[in-house]
This record gives sequence, C-alpha cells and structure tokens, in this order.
Amino acid sequence: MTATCELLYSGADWTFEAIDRVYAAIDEIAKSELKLDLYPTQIEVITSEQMLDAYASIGMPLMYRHWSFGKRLLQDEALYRRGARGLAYEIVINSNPCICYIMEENTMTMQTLVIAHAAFGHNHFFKNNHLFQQWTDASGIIDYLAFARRFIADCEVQHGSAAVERVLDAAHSLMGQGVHRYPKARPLDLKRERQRELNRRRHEEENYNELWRTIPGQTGVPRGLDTLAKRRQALNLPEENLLYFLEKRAPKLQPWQREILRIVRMLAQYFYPQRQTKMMNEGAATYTHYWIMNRLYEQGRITDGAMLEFLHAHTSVVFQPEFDDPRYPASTPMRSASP
Amino acid sequence: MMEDIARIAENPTEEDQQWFPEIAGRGEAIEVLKTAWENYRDESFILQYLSPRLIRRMRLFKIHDDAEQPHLVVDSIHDERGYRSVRSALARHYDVGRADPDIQIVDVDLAGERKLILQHRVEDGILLDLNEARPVLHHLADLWGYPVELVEIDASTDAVLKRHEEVGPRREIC
Repeated sequence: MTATCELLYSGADWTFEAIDRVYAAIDEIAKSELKLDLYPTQIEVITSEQMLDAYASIGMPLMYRHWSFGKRLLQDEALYRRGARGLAYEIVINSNPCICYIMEENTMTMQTLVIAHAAFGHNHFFKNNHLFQQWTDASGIIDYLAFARRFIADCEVQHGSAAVERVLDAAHSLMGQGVHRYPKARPLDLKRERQRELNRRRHEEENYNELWRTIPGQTGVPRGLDTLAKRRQALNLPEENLLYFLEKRAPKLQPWQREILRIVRMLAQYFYPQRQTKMMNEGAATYTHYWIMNRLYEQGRITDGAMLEFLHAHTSVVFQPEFDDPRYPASTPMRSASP
Repeated sequence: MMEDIARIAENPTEEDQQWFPEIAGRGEAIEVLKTAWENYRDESFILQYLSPRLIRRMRLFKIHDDAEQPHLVVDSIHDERGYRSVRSALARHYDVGRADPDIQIVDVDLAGERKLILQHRVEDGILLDLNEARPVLHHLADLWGYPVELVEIDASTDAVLKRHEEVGPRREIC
C-alpha cells in the first residue's frame, strides 16, 4: 500500500457502503500487518434507545426477564436524558461471531475508530486471552442466553412469576460469590447445557415414584458424616462458589430452581474474565485502533480532518487525570478511569 | 503500557535490558504485545510489564495507610528502591480475587438444624458491611431452606473478629 490509495470516505455522515469499505480496509491491515487472530464479526448499527436496552441487559443482545434490568434501564435513561451521562460509542460481545453494536449518531470517523477498536482490538483479545479461552464459550453464549430466557419464561408460566422472581432475587444477590476462581472442571460447553437440563428432567420423570413421598424424614446425622473431616470430604468443603453449592446440595430446592441458580452462575462465570482484564482489554483495543488509524492516515485513506477528529477522541479517552483529581472517588485514588 | 512495551521491544535502554531481558530489543513489537495479551490478566500484567521508566514518567508513589497510626506514610516513590514495591502495590489493586471478599462454606451442622456455616477470611481487618451482609444472608437462607451462620476470621491469625447473628429462611422458596 502506498499513499496513493483513494479516500475511504469524506465528511461526517456515515453510510453502510462507507462502513463496508472501511471494514475491508481495516481487515486487510489487521490481518496482513498486525496478524490478528479474529472471530468473524457482525456489526450492527443501533439507536441510543437500543443502546440503553443493551445496557439494561448487561450489554448482552438477549437476556431473561427480571425487574432489576428494567430498573437499570430507567436509571440509565434518566441520566442520559438529563445529559448527565453520555452513552458508550460501542458495545462488543465476547461471542462467535463477535457482535459489535455501534451507535447510529456516531460520525463516520467515530465509526471507523470504534470498528478498529472493538471489532478488531477487543475481538482479538477475546479470542486469544487465556482466561477467556478457559472460562468462556464464545460460540455457545448466544444460544445459551436464548435457552435461559425461554427456560425462565416457561418457569414463570408453570410456577408463577413471583416464585421465579424470589429465586432470581436471591441468586443475583449471590452472583459475586457464584464463580469458580480456580480452574478445576472441564472447559465450559454451553451448547450441552440445554441438553443436560432436559436429561435431568427426563431422569426425574422416569424415576418418579409416589411411594418415596410417604417415607418419614430421616433424623440424626447420616452415617459416615459425623466428623468435620468426613463431612468436608463428602460435601466437597470448603466451597467458595456459593451458587454452585446451593445448586448441588440445598435440600429443599426444586429442579427448576436449581436450574435457575445454574443459569445465574453460568453468567457470573462468563463475565468473570472481563472483570479480570478490563485494563488490558482496553489497552489492547486502544493500541490496535491507534495503530490502525495511523496506518489508514499514512495510506491516504482518511482525511486530515478525520485524523484530527480521531486524535481528539483518542486523547480524551486515554488522558490520565492527576492522582488528586476530583473526578476520582475519594476512596480509590489509584483506580484508572474508564472511558 | 502497551506503547511502552512496544518501545522496550524495539528501542530498549540499558535499564530495560536489565528489567526485561526476554523482550528488550527483540523487535517485532506487535508479536511481543500479542504474547502478553494472551497470557496475562490485569494484575499479573502490571506485575510483569510496568517499567521503571513508566513509573518515573507517571511519578507513581505508594502511600501506606494504617488506621491505627495518626499519619499516612509515603513509603515508596519512583526511585531504585521503590519500583518493585510501587509496581506490586498497583498490581494488587487490579486483583479481583482481593477485591471480592473471600467467603466460603466450611461446614453443615447435620446433627442439629442443618445450619450452613460460612467463613469470611478477612484481609487487612476489612469486615463486611452489615447493611449489605444481612440481606444477602437472608437470601442465602431462603435458598438453603435452613438457618445460615457467618463468622468473620482474620486471614493471618485465624482469630474470630465477628460472629454474625444467625439468619433463618424468611419465606419458603420451595
């Protein structure tokens, strides 16, 4: 490539054709020069209302129903309408294909920037970072969310929405204590989750026996569980994952309630690597977009004006306030500000 | 930090050679970066790659805040003696495992009322906020179906710091 390339776009307004051209140009740089290893990408242009919707479902394209998501939506919406807070330029999802939402009101330069940032930078990070590889299943997540949403909706019909809400409220309150922090189980395969749930239900139905209901409850300590050491061995204690323990051991829960705990736990685990790599993930995406935008400029494919607009956005995002800046909450002077 | 790692790979100083012998002057900045992106998380990444040069440029320093003492102490600054301590202190800020309380189920009282017994291993004397802990314990008891007890224990001395009042299930979830 030399500086004789044609401009990819001019002016501020974006078009789908221009986004196509920009995507192809970035794709070439990313693959031939940076040699990034990427999931296929699905880019969706969304409105600010849709962005608020996405916020409400923790950034995911679909989610089961729970009042807390609606509450979140109202809060975000109020802040946004009052102008107290802007919205993100993009949301990117650790899925295969990698889904990127970009905002309709972005200028063409911002679209170029966020595509380079999210569809290439974050995408490469999701696919290659060992925590994501070990703990998340990018190919299965969207289908799993669809299953979770349907499962919980079915539970609402069968058991009443109040009963479902009680379980979800309780499970959400334990979400932070619902992750395995150290690898021990096999890698996650979300596609098999639905099948596993069906098998569990079938097994129960096949083995249901009215007689068992008439046997009086046991009293006293079950044999072999009378010392702490034996109990610990039998119950796999200590256990840091409270949701996991409840799903497996809580004496009174119904199977559908266990499945809901499992769904909440799966989501907690899916998001856990994101919490552990916020800084690096943004750093990698920022390094990638900066590199790509400069390369596009060198190749003569974006205008001086576009480059200046990009640099303005870039420096606003990477700017580090001083340690005593009032924008930091008083208790956490060392935390980095996220854009 | 990403820019700094690229610089170390392509244009290292003598100091970088000492601190980062594996990557200093190796060239191929993007390959060095990609290896880092693959193999680390925030905490270990800072611990491995935050360079003395960047610590100087950002004028990082470390404050030791002991609630028992009347003064704050600046115990490390961006100098030869301070780099490692500043770096590991910053890295710990990014350790999610430290930010989340370490709470584990340690026993179930099978002889009595099937009470679930939890332990919070307390770091730096930071106890759970009662206003948050209680509602969560109620939720936990609701799911467990029997009472729940939480004990907070000092992680370094094993001393019992606080015993939360036992919480029973409020309503039958099942």
